[in-house]
Amino acid sequence: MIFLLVQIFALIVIIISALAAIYSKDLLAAVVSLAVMSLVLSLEFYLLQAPDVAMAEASVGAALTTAIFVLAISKTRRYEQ
Amino acid sequence: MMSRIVRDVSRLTFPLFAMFGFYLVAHGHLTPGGGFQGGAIIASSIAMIMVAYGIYGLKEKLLSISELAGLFSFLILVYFGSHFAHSAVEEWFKLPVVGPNAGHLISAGVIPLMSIAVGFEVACGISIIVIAMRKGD
Repeated sequence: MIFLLVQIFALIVIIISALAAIYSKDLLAAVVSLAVMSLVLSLEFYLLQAPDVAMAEASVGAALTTAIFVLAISKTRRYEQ
Repeated sequence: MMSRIVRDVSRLTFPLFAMFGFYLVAHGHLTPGGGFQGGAIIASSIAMIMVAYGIYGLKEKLLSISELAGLFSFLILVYFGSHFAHSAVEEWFKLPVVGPNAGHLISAGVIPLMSIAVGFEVACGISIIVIAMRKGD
């Protein structure tokens, strides 16, 4: 029961953060929303008993792509127009 | 160069982050994780420092040579494993923890050494990507 509740919570957070990443005009906030989506997706992988995939997703999705996007934003503009 | 908060937090959390990556690489044949995941976590700790402080003192050429060294040491270990033990490539598709004192840290023949080589190679390769992104040319 608690398993099902945590999974429903994780899926709702994934959808909300993905929509926030799409619709936000502040690109730095969009990048942080993508990082949150990736982190909760790795929690979902861990709940589905794939800890290997969860580690790869957390390290690549939440850390490396965030670093690369932040570097790209620091070279361009922060706000979408 | 980022703000004071970003610099201090990245400097404080860098050792924990890197130590977790080294732990994953060293226990690659026993627990979930392994060469790629541990190397990616080490590379993301280096990327955090690079985003916060800059890339002073990191040579792209040296990292490229290190990546090639990791790759060739992996290939040489595959050759030695298949030459001296019974085939190491065949061993991947069986249970990984076999051999003398199974389940301990020193076990499974050349597979932990291969995992260390893969972790080194992945950490250097992803650091090269972030350096190229930072330099921007």
